[in-house]
Amino acid sequence: MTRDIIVVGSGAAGAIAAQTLAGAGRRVTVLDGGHRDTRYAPQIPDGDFTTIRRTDPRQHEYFLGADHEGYGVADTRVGSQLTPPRAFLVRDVERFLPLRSDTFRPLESLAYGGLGGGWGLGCNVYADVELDRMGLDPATMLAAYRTVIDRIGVSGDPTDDAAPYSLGPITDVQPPVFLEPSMARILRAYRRRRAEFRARGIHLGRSALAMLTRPKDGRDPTHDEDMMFWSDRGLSAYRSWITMDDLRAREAIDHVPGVLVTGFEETEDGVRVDMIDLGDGETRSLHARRLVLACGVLGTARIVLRSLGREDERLPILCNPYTYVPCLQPARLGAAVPVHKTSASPLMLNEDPGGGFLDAGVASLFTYRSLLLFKLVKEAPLNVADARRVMQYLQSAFVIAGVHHPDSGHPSRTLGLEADSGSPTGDVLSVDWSPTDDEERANAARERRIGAALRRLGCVPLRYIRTPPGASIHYGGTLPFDRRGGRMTLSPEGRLAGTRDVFVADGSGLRYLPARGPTLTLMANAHRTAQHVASA
Amino acid sequence: MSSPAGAAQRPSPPAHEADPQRLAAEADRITRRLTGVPATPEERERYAAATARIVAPLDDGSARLWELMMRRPRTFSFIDAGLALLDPTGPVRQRLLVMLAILEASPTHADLFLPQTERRAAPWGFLAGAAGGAGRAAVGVPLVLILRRCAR
Repeated sequence: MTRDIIVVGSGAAGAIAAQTLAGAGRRVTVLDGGHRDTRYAPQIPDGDFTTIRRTDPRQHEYFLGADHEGYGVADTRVGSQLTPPRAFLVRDVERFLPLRSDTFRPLESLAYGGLGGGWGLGCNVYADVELDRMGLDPATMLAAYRTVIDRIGVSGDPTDDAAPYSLGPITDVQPPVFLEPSMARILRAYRRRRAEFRARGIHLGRSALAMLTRPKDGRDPTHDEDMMFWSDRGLSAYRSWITMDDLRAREAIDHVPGVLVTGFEETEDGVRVDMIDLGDGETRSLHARRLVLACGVLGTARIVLRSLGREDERLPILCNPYTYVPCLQPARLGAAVPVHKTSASPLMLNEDPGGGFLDAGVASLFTYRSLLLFKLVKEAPLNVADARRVMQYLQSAFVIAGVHHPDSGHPSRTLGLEADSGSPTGDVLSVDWSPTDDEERANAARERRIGAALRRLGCVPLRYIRTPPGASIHYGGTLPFDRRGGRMTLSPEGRLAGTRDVFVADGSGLRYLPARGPTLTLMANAHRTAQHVASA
Repeated sequence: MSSPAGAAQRPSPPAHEADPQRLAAEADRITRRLTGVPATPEERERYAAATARIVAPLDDGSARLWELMMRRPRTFSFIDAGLALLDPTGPVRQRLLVMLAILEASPTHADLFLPQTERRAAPWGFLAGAAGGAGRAAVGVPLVLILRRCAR
């Protein structure tokens, strides 16, 4: 049986691509690993974080994990956002997506809904100059952004100083989320000295978030329960599986879960897609007229290298460096923290000294409560009892700045497949990614400028914690967009060079990664690519 | 999100470390230090289960320190303070942090961990913790170093 279109992956790009294709009347089969959280979601009660903490006697099961996976006491790295209810996102990854690298520490997923299940919800409409550098057409992307924003629901402020960086020309969004006192204080400090900040290239304002503040399509507005890292109550936060659930409920797609696509081969009348069953390891194949790869940059790279790659071939890879900066806001020491607040980052600080968007940096600002205090106590150089008292008092004054830097790529940063007979796929992905000395200097300078701005906003940076490459979970550039159709590139429409019926709808084609998160752009590009696939 | 810190399985602990009565006593000792009251039966069970699964076995040096903390409560916070600087992720601190996490994920003790929601917290607990913590570290670091040297 020949299927119409196979989409590989159900994450941010795959779900949107499937939705667009189905909407165009195409018959879509989505293949994915299919893992879901069936264990914790039913256990988590309705209500806000504070009330749950004070009332639910079974909270240890989901806060700490039935398999104790939420403790993390032996590790000083912070992977806190991967809470037990989110651990399904990485199930089976180590076994089926092995990776070898001295430096690179990525996150991949075989989950239903992909990494979208743990997305921080930040939405960014890139400027024309950024899109152009990325290899995307600004005119078609603007239309795609509008379509995706309308589908998923985005809230923000289209009028403030951050709007050129978050929403661009788009104004049709829901009102922004509630701003808790810590964040409101920062915003007031910015506005008092706005001219001075802007003269230094600092533009602070509300983040655009894929978080509803008004009802939409059967999804509830956020109740600011500060439970974003634990549950998806009311579906106010957009998750890719929401789109998948809707498509499946309407029987608009066929869904084949529990598989890992390993490769493809074009046939006379389409594409054969090869896969491994995650359960029994058996191999099988499906045939389709067209194939759309949307399983994330690293996943797509594996498939393409196996299918078309030459021995020892390596592809370029982009990744945003990420540093997080815990800060202290002295004015908020011991202050009351409202029960209702968002877990997402409600403010973004854009650092763009040249004012041209290119090479701008960004700091997403968060407060800390719902990732549990013991994780802070663990980091304190004090005995546990005193550290608890100290951190309990300080936590209301903590502001975390998550700083991302842009990446234009470098010839030294590549990935490739190496043979490994112990791997279910017979290979392991090897990644070399290290910043150049110039990049390290530039990024450090940018962090100092951002730190200086934070101090002027009343937040004192305590440390600059540079995460390993890959930790930003923003990847791109392995199959760069290129009109010339060179080997291992994508056409502007997303067709894989050298193929007739294979398209790529994830971030593989992006030739440049702005500092601001790419997820909304990945979705818009997926929509745009799917439109081409539907009409090709 | 960043790369996860997993709960890796580790080798089974020595038999004496896994003794239920011993573990219950440990849970009580730590809980009294942190909350002023003994652990509940459920908290003791969770401590035992977590210790068996995710906490590293005590090496000889850590075992001696741990034994001292359990037998002589007055040394508890000093040794803890010293290890917070000298061996923050070692097996002794892991046991303390596991119990802390268990207590945090319990309604009974929630208000020891949550920030104030109604009014500004008085700074006394913070000041006592900061000053006390620094003082205990000043004693604890040399204490741990001396104890380690004596053990060799």
